[in-house]
Amino acid sequence: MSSQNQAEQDTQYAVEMRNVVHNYHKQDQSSVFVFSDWQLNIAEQVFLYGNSGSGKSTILNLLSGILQPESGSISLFGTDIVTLSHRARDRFRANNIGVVFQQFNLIEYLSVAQNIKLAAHFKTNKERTGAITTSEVKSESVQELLEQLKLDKSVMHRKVSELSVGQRQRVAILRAFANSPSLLLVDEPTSALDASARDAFMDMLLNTSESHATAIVFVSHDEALKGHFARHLAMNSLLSQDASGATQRDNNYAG
Amino acid sequence: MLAEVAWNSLLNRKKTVVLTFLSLLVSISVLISVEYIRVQAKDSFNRTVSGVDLIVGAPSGELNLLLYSVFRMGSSTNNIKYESLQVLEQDENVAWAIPISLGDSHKGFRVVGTNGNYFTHFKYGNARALSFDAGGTFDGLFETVLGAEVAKRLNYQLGDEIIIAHGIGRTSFQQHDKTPFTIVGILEPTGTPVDKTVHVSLEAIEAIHLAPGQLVSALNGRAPQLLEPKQITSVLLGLNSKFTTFGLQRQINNYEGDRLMAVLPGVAMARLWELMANVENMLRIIGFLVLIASLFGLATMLLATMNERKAEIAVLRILGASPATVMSLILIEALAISVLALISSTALVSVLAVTMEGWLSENYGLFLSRSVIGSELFVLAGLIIIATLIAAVIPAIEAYQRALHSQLSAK
Repeated sequence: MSSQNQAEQDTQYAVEMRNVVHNYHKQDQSSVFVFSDWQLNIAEQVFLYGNSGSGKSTILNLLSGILQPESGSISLFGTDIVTLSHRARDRFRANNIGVVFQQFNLIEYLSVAQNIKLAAHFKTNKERTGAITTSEVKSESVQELLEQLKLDKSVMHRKVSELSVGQRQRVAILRAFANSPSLLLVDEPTSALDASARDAFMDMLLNTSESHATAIVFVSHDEALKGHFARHLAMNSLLSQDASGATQRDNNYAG
Repeated sequence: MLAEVAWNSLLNRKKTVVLTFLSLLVSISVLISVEYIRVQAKDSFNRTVSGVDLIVGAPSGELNLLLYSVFRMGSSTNNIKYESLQVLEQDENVAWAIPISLGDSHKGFRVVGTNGNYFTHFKYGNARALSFDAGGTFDGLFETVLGAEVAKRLNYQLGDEIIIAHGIGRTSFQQHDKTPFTIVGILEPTGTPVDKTVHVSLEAIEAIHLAPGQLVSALNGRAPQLLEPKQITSVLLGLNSKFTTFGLQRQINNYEGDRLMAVLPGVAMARLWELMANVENMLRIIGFLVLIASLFGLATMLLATMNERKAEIAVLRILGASPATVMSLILIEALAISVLALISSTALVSVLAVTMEGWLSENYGLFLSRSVIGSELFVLAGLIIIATLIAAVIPAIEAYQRALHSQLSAK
């Protein structure tokens, strides 16, 4: 796969956005997002904060390749995902990107083990990336993660819908890292947690990502989390002026 | 892996899935039963008589003559003279003639008065002759040969004595109980109305209709002419050459000594089957309409759950599933329900066929000879699966589009 080769040749940045313009409605110029150019180093962790409608979700959708920008380039590990075909983009996402979301991370009716298997199922090049194959759900990396996240082994065979909120959060991290992603996208994972649970969660997430050398884009409206990160950016600073001269705050679509 | 996800997804929505499954189970069972009974009916119908070139009886309808002389259904409007049988037997074109005399019964089974020709010349199925499971043909006046079904159902053995009643009802007020019959033969099962027939000689039929006094004088030899058959119901004819069939038919129809009608069993059977074909097509159409209704139900169920599956679709997309994969997940779910319903229906109809076999043959003369699983079932299964895929396309496309447009959102 060319994306893999390119990724090895040119790997100075985990994320590099250049001249990215996104528009939800082709006709309606009021919903245009114009992003400033920015980069994220390999294994670097960045905190993006902003209010609802500041474009946080938009940037996550763009980085994961779920949304296509109108123009510009989004390079992840040297691969411009904008120029990839739909199929290649889906595969790139399966192979390189993990997500920890408040809701959209686990399939409720599957067991934890099945969720992990499912993620591995869509991943290609298993040997090279070191991801677990469907038959190796109990592999060492998962065992390690279970220990690291202080989860009992029995949790693997329970349905997600039967887990407590705290367990779910940790399982979400487990799922994301079980696939050994190079880039992790995190969106408001702590909003359902109280302060102490939140700090415990943040520590677990960041420690795990450090030990896996995973780059993180962490998005939240909660500036209190800033302290956990060495680098933080306000969404406002990422968005440059658009054609009409105002910074966009689209309320309808962005989270 | 996808199948595993689909299966768990179905388990997660047990209630709606079970209801949809039941509706499919009912409709597919109806379809399979209709198809099965249709094939069985045709089979059982076509094997009823073989090698008979002409059926001769009193003029009525072609179908009526066929029904009472071959299928033992309904009754004749009129009888024919015994002399007519003798005239037919002497015709150079006739190889053999089997007289049939109807009108009596034993516990709901029809009694047929005939002669030895019946056991040597009557053929069924693929030109198979009748054979005896036990005993042999009747010699004496009060001897009888039973069809396999009669012996089995009433648990009769050779040597048992039975009473024959006048009329064809299950209970008859006029039992010929002065004249019990001894069972001397039991036929092998044939899967035709022969199995449900009690066979006696033509003379015996005369004997049971005599007044007690007359019977005594007939039996002690003072008036033996009383036992001579005077009337019979119909005659089954086998000819030396098929080419003479139409000529003989014309001769019989124009015979002046008696009022006769001759029909070709093949032609009459085809006409009878045509009548039944209409009913059969109606049933098939109804069966398919019920199936279509159930499949709409399946599509509605899948479509209705699409909203609650928004999150699930987003997860799949983020994991790297293509929209086509999400679409195939929906198709797999639809197929799983429908294939399960198909298998269960086959099992259900098979069980029903086994348990209702006796009842069907007794009440409708329908003999089930083959298993439910046959080439017709495979054709039907193929149609059902194709129809399921077509029905599932709408929810699948919906899933595909949701997958394309699904976005990450914290809310």
